[in-house]
Amino acid sequence: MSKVNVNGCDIWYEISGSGAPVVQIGGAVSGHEGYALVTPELAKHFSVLDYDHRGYGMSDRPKQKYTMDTWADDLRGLLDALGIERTHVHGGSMGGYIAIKFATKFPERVDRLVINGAAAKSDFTCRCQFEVWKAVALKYGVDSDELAQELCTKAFSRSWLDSPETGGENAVRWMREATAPNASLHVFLDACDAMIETDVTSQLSRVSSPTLLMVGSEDVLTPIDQGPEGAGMRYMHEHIKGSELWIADGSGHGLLAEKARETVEKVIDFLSA
Amino acid sequence: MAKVAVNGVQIFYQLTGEGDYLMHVPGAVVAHEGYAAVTPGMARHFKVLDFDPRGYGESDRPKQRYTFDVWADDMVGLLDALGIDRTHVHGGSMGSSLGAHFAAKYPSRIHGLVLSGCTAKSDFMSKLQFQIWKHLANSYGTGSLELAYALCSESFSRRFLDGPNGKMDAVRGLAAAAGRNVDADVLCDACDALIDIDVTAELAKITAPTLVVVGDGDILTPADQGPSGAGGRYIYEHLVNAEFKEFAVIENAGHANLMDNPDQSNRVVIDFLKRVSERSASAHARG
Repeated sequence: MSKVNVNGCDIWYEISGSGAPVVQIGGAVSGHEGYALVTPELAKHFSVLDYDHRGYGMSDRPKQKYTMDTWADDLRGLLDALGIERTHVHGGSMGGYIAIKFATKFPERVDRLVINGAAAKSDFTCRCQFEVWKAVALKYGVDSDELAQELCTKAFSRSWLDSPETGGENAVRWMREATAPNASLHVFLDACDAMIETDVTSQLSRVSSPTLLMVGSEDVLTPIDQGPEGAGMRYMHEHIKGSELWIADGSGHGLLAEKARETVEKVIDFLSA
Repeated sequence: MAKVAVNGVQIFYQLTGEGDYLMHVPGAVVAHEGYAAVTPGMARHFKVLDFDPRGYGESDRPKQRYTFDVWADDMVGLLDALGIDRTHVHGGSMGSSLGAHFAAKYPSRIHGLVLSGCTAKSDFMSKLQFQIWKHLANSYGTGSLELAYALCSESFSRRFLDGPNGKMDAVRGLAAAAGRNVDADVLCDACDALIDIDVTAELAKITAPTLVVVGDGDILTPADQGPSGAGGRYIYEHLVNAEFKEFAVIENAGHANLMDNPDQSNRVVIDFLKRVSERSASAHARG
């Protein structure tokens, strides 16, 4: 565990394992902890760089405007600071939004790209969903049961939420405990706006790396197909040359929880090719 | 437009068209306005009874505890007051859960039954969804954009919300309609009723011909709930004593299938209820 100064902000990072470099980009709520189950497996094959992006976890959380560009530029700065010229990139949920932004902005830095549950552009339904997140967070706080309940309805499938081991109040508690220490209200609100506003549809042709697009068949947040005004996983597949679309049958948005083993195996296979 | 006293409260109702009676049972948010686009088409075939349940719209809204029993008893009281012995019943969203409850409690009053976007028992996902409605109604009010964002994203298909009747027009329209028709206290009771509902054991008491309808993209009341719930498919499979039963999936439609795909949605309902009417007419002629 260490920190390095990137664009004026102390960024927390950790490198595990050895091999070709892989950087993992956290989502809107849990920072690098979202990859806690994935990193040990990937580290058997790769040199895995986990970090908390600006505003999250153990990195600085300055009061400022946060955008996809902020986080994409910080990732380049982090790679520069660590002397990593080119790396595999794995981003899930908002980390996937940042990953696709990064890959369109700095394609020469990306070896192979894995996007897990994201969108190139949000449709109006997504906008409504993120407006609800903002409304609940503003009223109840990012460390509340109320926000954790709302996040669970978007993160998981019905069958996962009904499972005795992982579901019910266990899921809500797990979500709250992942969010509370890692997110701040002002950053979370900006993250929601960033996902509402992002639009990389016109830049997708700039992605030059082999790309794997992963999505759960039951994902209602970043579904296979957004509405006509959005650009979801299938749209990205159709607009990123040579990309592969991998659909996890029965899973919701949270592939790394619901289909952890299959997802990690697929990521390792793809990055090893 | 008229009102009639039912169980001590004034209930707003409206009769439109001619034919066998068809009662529209409203959902949790916009009372009889939810059928505004449907009633004129239905009135060409049936005598349509629209009403606002106790606590909603233009009916009285006393401070009290609201449950499916309260509303089902009011429904039978309304039919009694209007001298209606038996009626087709079409319930959408909470109106379908209420319709199922009513049909199990008063089976002899039902002619043909349509349950659209129906839940017989909520799984944990549904319970959370209704909890969020309660949080938003309590914090921001029933007429707020905040609540309407949640209702819209869970009720309409992504295609509809991106389309000409979607976007902020849909959000603002739903916010205004919700604010007009229901207060937070009543909506919270309605959400609790939906969280706690379990009519799975009562489905066998439903004897009327029944049509179960669900949108193929419904994420609020999908055909299949999680293992702890019971959605439309479960209901269809467990209507063991219905005179006959049918299951219709509305294409390209979310929970609000009457708005998402009005053509198919109205067609299956009219077609089903007309067949029920014709069967009973010919049975009557034979008898």
